[in-house]
Amino acid sequence: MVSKKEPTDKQLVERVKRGDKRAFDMLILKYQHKIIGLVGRYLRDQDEVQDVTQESFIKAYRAVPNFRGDSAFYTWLYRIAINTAKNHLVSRSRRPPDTDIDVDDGEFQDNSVVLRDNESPEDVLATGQMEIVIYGAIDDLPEELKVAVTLREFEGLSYEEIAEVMGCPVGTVRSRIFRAREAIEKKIAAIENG
Amino acid sequence: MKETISAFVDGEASEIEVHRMLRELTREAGDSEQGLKKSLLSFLHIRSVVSKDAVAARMSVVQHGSLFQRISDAVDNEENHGDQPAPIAWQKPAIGFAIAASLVVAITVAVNNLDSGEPIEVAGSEVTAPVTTVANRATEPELRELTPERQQQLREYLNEHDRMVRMKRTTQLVNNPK
Repeated sequence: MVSKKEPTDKQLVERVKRGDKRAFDMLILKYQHKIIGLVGRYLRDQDEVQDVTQESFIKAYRAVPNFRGDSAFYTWLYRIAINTAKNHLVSRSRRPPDTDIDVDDGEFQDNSVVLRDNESPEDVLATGQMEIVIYGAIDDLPEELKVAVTLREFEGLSYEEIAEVMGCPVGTVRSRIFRAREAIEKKIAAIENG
Repeated sequence: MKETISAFVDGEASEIEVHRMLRELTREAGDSEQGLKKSLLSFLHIRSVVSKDAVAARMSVVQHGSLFQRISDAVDNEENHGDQPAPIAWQKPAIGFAIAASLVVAITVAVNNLDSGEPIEVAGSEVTAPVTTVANRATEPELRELTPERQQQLREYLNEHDRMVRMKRTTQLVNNPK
């Protein structure tokens, strides 16, 4: 997958280094889901997962002045999160796994098999319901929006690659993906608001 | 702004757009900020569900929002890096541009006044001509030839210039006797 995200991350990290905490908020928002997913592969309890996620971000914030940018920000954050999760297990006298999760597994991969035994029946039901809502919403989208969002979310293609596949300008791809997400978001909100 | 959030989630937002998003976030917590964060979390939630990231998908958008707030509050309690909030990168060239533009305006006014034979009334006088904000300069010929992104960038510069001109209304020019 071609990714352009690193320049943006670098720009945000530079702002954090200069004292802009809101820039770090953007990094939390951007990577919170991924870090939760990652930590969740080491820990079972949802509260522990959230605590370790929080601790990982705090450690990252403290260490930002030492981040030289030799690796991508996410790779760096990922290492911090893994170490924090392992230390947490050790502090609870539990044995951390022998093998680490590959950094490339952080995106666009199927974690469901790994995690099924960690979930309660209620969790499985809730996740399943949300899947039904989201897949249903994608199915209901007009064709051009459906193709754009599918290529992005399922295949992980960049906007430029999607533009090539769909034979339209990058700006159109961007707008289609946004409109698709907005439509899906409305359906999620309807479910979450009861 | 929500389209920018969507692009940001994909790492496809431009530098200027990220600056604008940060500006929105820095404002007092209002509907706009809540909407901005909520959309970002919703878009990422969709991704978690679609990519079968069960742990993240198990949490609702509201739960993700609460966790984010918790982490953000904890970061706020941490020591600040650097001395002050970062200056927005485009402000630096904008300031230079504004100074140059202000000089051009001042010289033009002075020359026009000399040509018309009217005395140059400067000391203590205020600029009475209204300074218009650049709401829509995309139609101006010099902007029309640029890409939308460059147009937007230049519009930002021009707005910043106008803002500075308004701030400097009391700036005085030296009156050269004829």
